[in-house]
Amino acid sequence: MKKGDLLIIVLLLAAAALFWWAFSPHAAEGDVYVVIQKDGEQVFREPLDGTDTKWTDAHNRVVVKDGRVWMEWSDCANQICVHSGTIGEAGQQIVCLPNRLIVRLEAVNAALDGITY
Amino acid sequence: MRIGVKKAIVLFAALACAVAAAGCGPQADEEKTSQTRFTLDTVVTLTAYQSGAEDTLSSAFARIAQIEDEMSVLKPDSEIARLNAKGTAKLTEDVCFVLKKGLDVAALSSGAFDPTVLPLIRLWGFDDETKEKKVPSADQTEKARALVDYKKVELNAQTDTAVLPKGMGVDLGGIAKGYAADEAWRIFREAGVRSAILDLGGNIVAVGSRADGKPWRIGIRDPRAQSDSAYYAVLSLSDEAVVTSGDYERYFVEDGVRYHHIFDTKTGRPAQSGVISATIVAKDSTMADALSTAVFVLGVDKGLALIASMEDTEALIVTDDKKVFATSGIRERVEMVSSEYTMQ
Repeated sequence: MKKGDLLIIVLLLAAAALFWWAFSPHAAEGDVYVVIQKDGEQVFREPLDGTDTKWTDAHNRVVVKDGRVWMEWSDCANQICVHSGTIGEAGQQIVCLPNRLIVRLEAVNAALDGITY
Repeated sequence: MRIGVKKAIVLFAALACAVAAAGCGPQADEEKTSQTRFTLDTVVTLTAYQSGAEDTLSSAFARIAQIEDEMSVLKPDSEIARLNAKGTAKLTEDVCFVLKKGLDVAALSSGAFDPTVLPLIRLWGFDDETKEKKVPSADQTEKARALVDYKKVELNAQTDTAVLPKGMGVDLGGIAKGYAADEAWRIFREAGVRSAILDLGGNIVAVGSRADGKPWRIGIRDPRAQSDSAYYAVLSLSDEAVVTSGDYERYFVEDGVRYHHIFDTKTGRPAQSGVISATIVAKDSTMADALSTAVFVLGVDKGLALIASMEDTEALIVTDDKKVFATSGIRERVEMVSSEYTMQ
């Protein structure tokens, strides 16, 4: 093997590494955010990073705990939101139609772009 | 291999530049314009993956609101409410178009989808969320069922006038959302938006493809999971509409039996075809919406046969034993994510 061949191999490996770095998901893209919208207006946006918190207004209470999010309480008549379970992945959402509240998990380049139901 | 060292270095440098340009371009710092509104009795979110699409979103929402005004059974001033009250009405172009499509799908599916299902919806209480729901008597059911028949609708396309026999009623609830999605899609396309997700209460249009050129990834709700957000499979879609009908969306339980809102017009009762979820992927959201109901009612064999006979239309069906059936054109674009469900 000539010196030149060796250089080419090294360069190809470097190129491969660069490709891998460029096309693998970056940390910032994977970050999931908890977004709460009331009447279409954003009222809450925090990263889902293990920090436990609660959001509440006069009609709903949303819990963020251990990387999961759920509707703990709502004063609405149908209680669909309270019974709709927990979410933890970008693309998922909880809707309280009567109170016009949406809790949504968002991320740049999320694994999921929506759910049909 | 005999490439000169200099050439190799130049090649490497070019490659590095290309990677830097492609890999760290727009998708890393993606821009989008998104808005959510409560309309069509559900939540509608329109998202364009580009900046400055506010006007397009506003036009689409205005068009959706117009369609809702024309087609809602609950709004007393809507075209449909007037038709149902008087038995005849001059319809707008929109309502005429959607009713015509509804009647077409009814004919295609031998009435499995039927836009005249309103008497049954009313009898069982599914027209109003606040109504107390209970199983009606066999006699009541038979009376209402006899009032459901798409063949008795007279639609005059020249004069845009419809006539219904006494007691009958049209409900476009199983198709109007699909039409609203098609119209929003048209507005996005005409505005030159190449990458967008239109979510009309679970009726989704995947406009174009992702900003990185890959297909959109749309989950299909797990029909038996506790969580509304769980999904059993992921579809890869580009420039396609997807609609799902399931028995989990609106239902009540009486004596341990689940009564859902999708009716078999031959029995007058909630369909019991063994299907618990039917998903249609198509280039036409209006058709997909009506067909998802038709396939749900028809069951696996007849449903798959109907969809296989149609162009640019695919189906994914889940049965009550958690088996999944798919038409050939979608099979390769389905990723199963729940081990409880098995693809047949």
